[in-house]
Amino acid sequence: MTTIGSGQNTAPASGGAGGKVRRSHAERSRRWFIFLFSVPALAFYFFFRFLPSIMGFAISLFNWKGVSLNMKFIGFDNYSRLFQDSVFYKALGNHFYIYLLNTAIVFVLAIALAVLITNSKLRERNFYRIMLFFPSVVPAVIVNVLWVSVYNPNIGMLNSLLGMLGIAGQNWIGDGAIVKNSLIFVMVWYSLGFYMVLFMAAVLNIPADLFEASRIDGAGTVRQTFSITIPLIWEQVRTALVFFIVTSCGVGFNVVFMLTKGGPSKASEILPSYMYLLSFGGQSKFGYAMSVAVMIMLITTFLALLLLRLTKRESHEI
Amino acid sequence: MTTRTDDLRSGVKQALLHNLIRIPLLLYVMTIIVPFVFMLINSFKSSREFYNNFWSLPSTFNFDNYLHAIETSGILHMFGNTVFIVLSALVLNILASSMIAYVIARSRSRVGEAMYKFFLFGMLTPGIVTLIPLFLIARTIGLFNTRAILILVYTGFEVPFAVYVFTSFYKTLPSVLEEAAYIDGASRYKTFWRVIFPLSMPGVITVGVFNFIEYWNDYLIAMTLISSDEKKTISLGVMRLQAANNVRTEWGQLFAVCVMVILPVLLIYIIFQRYLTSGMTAGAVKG
Repeated sequence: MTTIGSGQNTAPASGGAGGKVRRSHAERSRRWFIFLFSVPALAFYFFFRFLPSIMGFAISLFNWKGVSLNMKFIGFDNYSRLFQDSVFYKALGNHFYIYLLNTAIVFVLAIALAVLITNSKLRERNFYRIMLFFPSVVPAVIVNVLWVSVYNPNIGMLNSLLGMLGIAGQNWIGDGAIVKNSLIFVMVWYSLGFYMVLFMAAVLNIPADLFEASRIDGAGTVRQTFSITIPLIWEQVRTALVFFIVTSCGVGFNVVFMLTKGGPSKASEILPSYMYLLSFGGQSKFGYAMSVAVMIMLITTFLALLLLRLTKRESHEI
Repeated sequence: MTTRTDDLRSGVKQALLHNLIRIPLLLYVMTIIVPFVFMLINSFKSSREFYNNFWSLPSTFNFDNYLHAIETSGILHMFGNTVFIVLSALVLNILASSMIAYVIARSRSRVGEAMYKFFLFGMLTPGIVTLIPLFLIARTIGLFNTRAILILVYTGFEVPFAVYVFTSFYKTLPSVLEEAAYIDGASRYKTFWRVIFPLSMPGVITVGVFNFIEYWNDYLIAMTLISSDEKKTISLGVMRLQAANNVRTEWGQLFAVCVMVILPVLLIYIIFQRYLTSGMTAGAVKG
């Protein structure tokens, strides 16, 4: 690696006293360059991504209605209220149920499909790659319009199809007993292809001679999968896991917010949707909502660290 | 003889195995294709035809739903808003991020690494927890309910990803290029804009495609920071129609708008899907 302008720096460095002056001039202009080229990105990022991520905790210490900019400092009152809020506990339980199940299903299926599709040499594997990836580029609002219509108990596709097969339809997102699972299906449907494609690329990156060598040693396909393929993509899986836990927060919100609004009777309320309901969703308790957001941050970080630890194993370098 | 029967047997086994994988996969693919085809077909039907039989093909391909939606829902205006906001944020992000990525990629000191880690923080915080602070920031600086705030926030949100892509790209560029330019007497600025940036087109396309999709699909930030109709983006338009749909059910029209909104993303996906995959293998994971 070179420093910026190394070509310029070397020439004057060979001079005498005059060279020294010129070098400090060159050094100054180098610093200016670094400054001017760094500031725009740093500014955008700092004010509109970093700052909003860290100032949330401060807001959670205030009573703020959101109408004006008047805020009243109340210390940890929002938190002591939160820990006595029954809806919060309900949402917390749903939150863990939905996100843990979603994560488990997406990762097990994505790894399994990636390995199966790449190893099986199916002729149409490109077709699967393109089709399964597609939902993750569709606008969230459209995903939700689609699934509202699929799950509709009266004019929905799903019940109509089941009816043709002679199976009784369900009120998929209106029945508290099954609503969470219906939502998890949409979340998996949305994310699975993205992670499958990611792992397919990882599998394809494994050098072919590793498989060749193990075949000579008498390893079958199953053995190869568990002794070569999965260990070698494992680090990528773990990195993806962290990003998945962070980004799926938003995916879960999209689905709950537009399909059920947390209902019926809070059966599908999760922390992000509860946060929204408390703030923009009409209750205008922005400080209180922010204490829920802080809990989301804590839980997300906790889950990411926990899963990183649980999935830790000897690293394999190629 | 034995080898031939062995071949045959392993061939049959292989075919069976393939179908064992193929059938569940095809069933799953149906859950993706069928809803979209259903949406497309029903966008051409009148309300009466839809309720009669929503599985049937439309009797005629009439664009009434499309025309009606364009006339009444203000969707074209929102389309214009979205294109303006998305393109502005894209240009800003690509310029700002490629500049700082160049500094990071060519820096020998620890500053570059520190900046890199600073950006990583942004990729590890759920976007949803920033909504209320963004609302406060927008109101404090007086930009609430403007297109400008959306451009600024969109840019800030995707800077980490873009810096990531550009940095790994610039690290692969040999420094001989710059040295040659310096010997010819070009300044650092000129070298970057005339030599380095034009070479970064693969990075520009990867960032451009990913961010276009990200920006085009956003409804959450727009919903938080925009309140008046004339500044709304396309996703908010769909949401308004969907809300109206709960009262006065016009599935055909709603589907027609959805088809129009999905079209740009579909085109980008078809043209650039190779870049989408390569952007992911660059190590950049987003979902």
